[in-house]
Amino acid sequence: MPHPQEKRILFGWRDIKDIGSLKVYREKGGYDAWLKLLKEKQPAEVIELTKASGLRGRGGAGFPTGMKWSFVPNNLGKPKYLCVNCDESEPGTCKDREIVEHIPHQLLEGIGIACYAVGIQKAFIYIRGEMYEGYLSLKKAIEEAYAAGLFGKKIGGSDFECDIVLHRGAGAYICGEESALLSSLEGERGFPRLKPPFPAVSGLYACPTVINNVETLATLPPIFRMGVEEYAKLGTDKSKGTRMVSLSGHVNNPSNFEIELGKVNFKQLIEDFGGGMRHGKKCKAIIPGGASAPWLTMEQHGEVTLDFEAIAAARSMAGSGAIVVMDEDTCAVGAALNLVEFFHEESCGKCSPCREGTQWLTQILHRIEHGQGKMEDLKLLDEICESMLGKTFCPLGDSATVPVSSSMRYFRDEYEHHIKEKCCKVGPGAKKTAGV
Amino acid sequence: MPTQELLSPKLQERIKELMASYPKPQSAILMALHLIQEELGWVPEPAQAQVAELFGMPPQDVTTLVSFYYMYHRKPVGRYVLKVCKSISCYLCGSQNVIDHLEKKLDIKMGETTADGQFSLVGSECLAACTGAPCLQVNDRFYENCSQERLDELLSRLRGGDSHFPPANVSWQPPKES
Amino acid sequence: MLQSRPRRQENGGGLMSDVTLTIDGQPVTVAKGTLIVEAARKLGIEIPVYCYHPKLAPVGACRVCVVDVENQRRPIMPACATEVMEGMVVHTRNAAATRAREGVIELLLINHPLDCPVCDRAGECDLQDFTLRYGHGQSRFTETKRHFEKSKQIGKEVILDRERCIMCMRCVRFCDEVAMEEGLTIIERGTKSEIGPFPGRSFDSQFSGNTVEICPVGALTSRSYRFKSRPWELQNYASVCNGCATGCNLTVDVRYYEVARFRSRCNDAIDDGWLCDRGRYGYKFISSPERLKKPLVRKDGQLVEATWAEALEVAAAGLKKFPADKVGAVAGPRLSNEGGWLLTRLMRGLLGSPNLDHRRGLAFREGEPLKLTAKIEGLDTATAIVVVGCDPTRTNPGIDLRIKKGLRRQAELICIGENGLSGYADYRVGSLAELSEAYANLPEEEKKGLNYPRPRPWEAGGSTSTDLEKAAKVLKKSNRVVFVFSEDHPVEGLEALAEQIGVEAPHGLLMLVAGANSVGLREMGVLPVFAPGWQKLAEAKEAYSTAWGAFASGEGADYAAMTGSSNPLQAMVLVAEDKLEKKPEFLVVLDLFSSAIAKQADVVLPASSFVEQVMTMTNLDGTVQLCRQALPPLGESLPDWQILYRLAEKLGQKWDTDTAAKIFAQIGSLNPLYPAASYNDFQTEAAVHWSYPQQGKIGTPRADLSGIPVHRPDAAPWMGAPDTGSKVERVSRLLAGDQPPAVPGQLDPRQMATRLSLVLPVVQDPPPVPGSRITASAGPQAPGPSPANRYHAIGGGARELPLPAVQIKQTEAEQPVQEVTEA
Ligand SMILES: Cc1cc2nc3c(=O)[nH]c(=O)nc-3n(C[C@H](O)[C@H](O)[C@H](O)COP(=O)(O)O)c2cc1C
Ligand code: SF4
Ligand code: FES
Repeated sequence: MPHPQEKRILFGWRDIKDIGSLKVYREKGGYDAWLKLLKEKQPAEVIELTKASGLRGRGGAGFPTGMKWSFVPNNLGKPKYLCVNCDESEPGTCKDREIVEHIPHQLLEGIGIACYAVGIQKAFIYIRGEMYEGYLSLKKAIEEAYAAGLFGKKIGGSDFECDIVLHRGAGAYICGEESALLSSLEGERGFPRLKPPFPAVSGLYACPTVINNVETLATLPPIFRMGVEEYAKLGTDKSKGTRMVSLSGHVNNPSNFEIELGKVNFKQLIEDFGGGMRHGKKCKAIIPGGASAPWLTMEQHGEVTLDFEAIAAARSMAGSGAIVVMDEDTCAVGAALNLVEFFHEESCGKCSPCREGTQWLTQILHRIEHGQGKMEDLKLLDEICESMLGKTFCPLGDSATVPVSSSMRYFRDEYEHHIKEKCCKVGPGAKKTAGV
Repeated sequence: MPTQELLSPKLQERIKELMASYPKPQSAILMALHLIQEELGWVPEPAQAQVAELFGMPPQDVTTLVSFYYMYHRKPVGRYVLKVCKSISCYLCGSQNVIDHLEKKLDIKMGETTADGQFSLVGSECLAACTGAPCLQVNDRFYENCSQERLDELLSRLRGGDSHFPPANVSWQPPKES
Repeated sequence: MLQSRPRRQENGGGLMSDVTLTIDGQPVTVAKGTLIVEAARKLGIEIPVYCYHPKLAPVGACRVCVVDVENQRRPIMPACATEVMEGMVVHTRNAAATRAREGVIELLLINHPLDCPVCDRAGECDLQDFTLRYGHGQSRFTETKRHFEKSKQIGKEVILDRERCIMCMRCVRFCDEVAMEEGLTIIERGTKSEIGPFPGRSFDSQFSGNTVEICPVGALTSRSYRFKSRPWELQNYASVCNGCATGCNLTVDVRYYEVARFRSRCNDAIDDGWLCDRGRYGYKFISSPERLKKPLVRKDGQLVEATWAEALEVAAAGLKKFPADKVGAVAGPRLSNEGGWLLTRLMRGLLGSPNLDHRRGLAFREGEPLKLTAKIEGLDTATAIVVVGCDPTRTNPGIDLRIKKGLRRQAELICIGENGLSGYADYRVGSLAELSEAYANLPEEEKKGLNYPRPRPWEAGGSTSTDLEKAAKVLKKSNRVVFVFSEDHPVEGLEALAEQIGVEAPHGLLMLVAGANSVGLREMGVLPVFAPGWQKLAEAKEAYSTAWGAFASGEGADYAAMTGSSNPLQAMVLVAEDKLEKKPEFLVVLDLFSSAIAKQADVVLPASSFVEQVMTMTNLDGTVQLCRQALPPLGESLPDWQILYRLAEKLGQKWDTDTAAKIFAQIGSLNPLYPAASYNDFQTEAAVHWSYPQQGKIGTPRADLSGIPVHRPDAAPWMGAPDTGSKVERVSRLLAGDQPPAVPGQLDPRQMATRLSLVLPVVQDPPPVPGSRITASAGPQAPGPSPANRYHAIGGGARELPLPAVQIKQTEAEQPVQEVTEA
């Protein structure tokens, strides 16, 4: 059952029984929005409408989707491609998985709309290897859609043709980064690529390519069903519509929620949607947009609303919409170490600042965590972050510095305590002496 | 050095079909390696060389992939690979307890396989099941909210030969009413 | 596999606009598409690099080249991967750039063992140098470094120390982009990444040495050179490989009268900066104990040592005994142009015999020189390359790499016959005749149309086709076609097809001749039916009679006749040649080693190798190149030309060409293919290490004999024994083994390295910009290419920096024939 305070647009049909089957989806009117666009609108108009809806990318950067599409040149004489980014691996994020497992046809319809708008005849869905269930559900949906003439040639009686290839990744977070995704899709190491050339001009197989997140695309059909003006009325001036948030961590009711942008703040999210903190504890810190987003604190940022601008104003980012909540017993050093370990593990190793920097950060945090830190380490941590930030090949390296710098911004006292007292300041680690 | 024919003719056919579905055949290599792993349980070196030949690429270009993408096993693994998520949400919700419990129950350390070849225990980064933390994957299937009791149930079902446990695609609980 | 960006397309003659930008306050104008590092280099501003290599596509991975660019969202940008833009303002030395670079170097060092004292690369290690110049000077890393098995032999010649690897991926990219074959790759990812070949296989590419050379640190070292020397003990001499007729340029590094190694000396027009392993490691013969060191003369049926005077006397007397038409000479293709010239003079001018030829001199065709010779560079811009019944991979590896470069750019490959390149072929056809016919039958309107980018062969799924028509159409795309073939292949059909296509230089026919100086010897007139420069004998007679006093203008016996079983000759001179089925009554052999034929000779005269003399060779595309003398001749050996000169003296003629330079000048005055040749046409710009011009060394020749004091052959009498007294002891063997010895209670040296703090003087002021020094020290502007474009400026190629024109040292090139003293 949807949460009463949710604003379900994308997830409007989420709980309909068997909505994952083509039959039910069609009965509800699924695919009609796309087929209508095919008949009634020119591709350029679809791009304009998408711009007007105010839809922004849900993969992390929040780039306006219609604008992204309009960058694709039409005159290169090369095929164009759509890559659907379903590599969801950002810690805390699990919305795309729910979409592909439960409403796969809505994603396919969204793909159809995007392909028509940009004039793309081949779409690749890059699905994370671990999401085997999602892979099966998409595979089935694609087969059904092909059988019903929704993909392939002469779709809906028009001249439009479009194919979908489902492609499994194999366990590498970096492949969510758009250019690494392209490398991986070309059967290579998931190394990010130099930009320029930008994918819009020279992406997959050196052809113009659009890369969109699953949620971004799956939002398209409901937008066109309800009308872009209606959708654009939702949310704030710059962050229009709704988005999925994955609420996890120390809350009573961790789940994916669809919320109207700018209308809910963190406090409400945790209390009203999340059912409050577990065991009645106080909330200490929030990661508002996946592991790459700088931490916020409940104390200072409880009133910040969930939209791109408000979170950015609080020196963080809305990112992938993953909201991880930590309670007062969480050791900031331990949590930061966990996050840095993630980036260390997932660094592709192509560029030196990220490859070596994540190792060093991990080693130092590990030492501090285990009671062997020195006061100079804090300065060193700052400086390593400085050596990495803005110097790495892709944003992963930047992200790796984020947990360190943001946790030190708000919880420097805990680091100092760890160094001086050789144990955590808060939580179960506070009493016993750590390490040794 | 005669390469042992590890890839069955049927598998080779499947791989060739996959190659044809991409504008550039090499794109199919990750999918092909998944198929090989499904058939053999892991991706041994001779199989890497053989698939390289099939794709007409130098063999080291396959090794580089198999080692870059962590889902491919370069050593044999147990029948059930338990992949425990260690990332932030699961960490906050007690992934260490899950690991400790499984290590104790299976009497192996992370990265090891039980002597009977049934279970391998590995760590994993975020599995996109954060709202069901702590979670793990049994081969390709998710198992969420892993309390000690649920872990015990999992182990006993698997030991009992229930290879369909946990059942596929039931992982998503509709949000609980607050 | 590394997704490096395809290299910018070469300016195909179209309009290439220029871009003006400012680097460190200095304006510079460069072609659009130039990278910031390259633009800075033009100004003489050094930007350190590791992953960047001018011959590999940029990857921007190591980040040591970061610079500060104004008005950017991310102002710190990799100079090696960022193309210049109009009005760009770049800072390489401001606070932001300096800090960023320091940070990157510090990070690169955290896992790098500080074992410089026992590292083979010390002294020429970019990590060492850039740390000194741009690093913190203090390592703050106190954790445990990443450890691997210390050193591991991964190929016949290559040893890998993974701990030292900084993951610049140059080696991997070389295998992937340049050699395009099985080689090295990256295994694992992140900090665990390591370099290696396919598990269980050996890295035995015939180009493996290049990876060692371009590795910027001591991660890849070569077995032959390991622990033998320190780079500062080496003297460097510019030379040319004589392994095959490609003529790759190399630097001979000499340590105390011994060749320590050969290195590539990039010449864009010939070798593109690479050497094959056969050439690179082929220097061992030079110091072989088997080398002939003294003249030998047959006495009482036995070959015994003799003095030069004695041996020459016997040789002259023997040759004089027989009528001119019963005397002949055969040369092998290692012989220099100078030696070949004097051999022709000896035979036609002095002995009056037309019987001379060199190995397979006219195998490809009787009676005419080759037309439409292509330049090696032509392979870069060709749209079609046809490999006809030969195997460049085996015979001319340098050409193999060049063909692959063409393939990466735009060429399509048609293979006729099986060879090492067959796997890369787009089309395989049965015979040239078939292809010509299909071409002739194509409808007229079949026209151009190129597909970019071209997938690599394995990306195309190894697609090959026997479809003749398609192959023929490829030839129609443009007239930029190169035919690669061996001497065994008849040339008539090739020439006809090339003419039909209308090929123009630098494309055309590339004949893979069988020996290093085969082309040169043909052009020196070591042929039975031509005078030098492919002149008709009768037409040349007058000029040569005037210059040489006489000229036998008849047609003589050829190679097959002279070396065959029905050899009609009674006396012969064999230079560097070991085939002879029937020994004549009197035989003189000039050679490095005692071959089976030499053992039957009446006189054996020890010759010097190409590193022991100044000489020129002409490679397969007709480029004349100079080898400089790097060593004194071994033992009593002498350059071939000197032997021939002395022989002439004993035969009663004192020639005026008593130095190599004078011989070359005479070639220039008489041979129409070498108009006005002079050693001064070769400038030298030796040994700028490709890894990147070192600060202060940009454009300054390391082996500039005019400036740096070097060992000079004339200073050390060449017959004297090398000065062993000053030999430096080799690097202690303590750490030379695979694993450091485990001595209880003693620190693991690698651990020690992690603890040491590398206290270095902090460089405060930006080091002087070397550009100013270049202009100051540069000599007169390099003269343009010589007439007919035939003289290749050594090391020249398309360098951007003005190079000082250095004259060949008197002492070296003008080394006159010395009086042979009687022992
Ligand atoms: C390290 C890294 C990981 C990323 N992972 C994902 C991911 O898992 N899923 C995703 O949709 N976008 C991910 N992104 C963002 C994508 O690069 C890209 O911006 C996005 O897919 C664009 O789609 P959108 O415009 O629809 O948001 C990642 C970015 C970075 C730098
Ligand atoms: S071995 Fe040398 S060339 Fe290869 S990646 Fe390492 S440092 Fe670079
Ligand atoms: S990133 Fe520029 S040289 Fe490596």
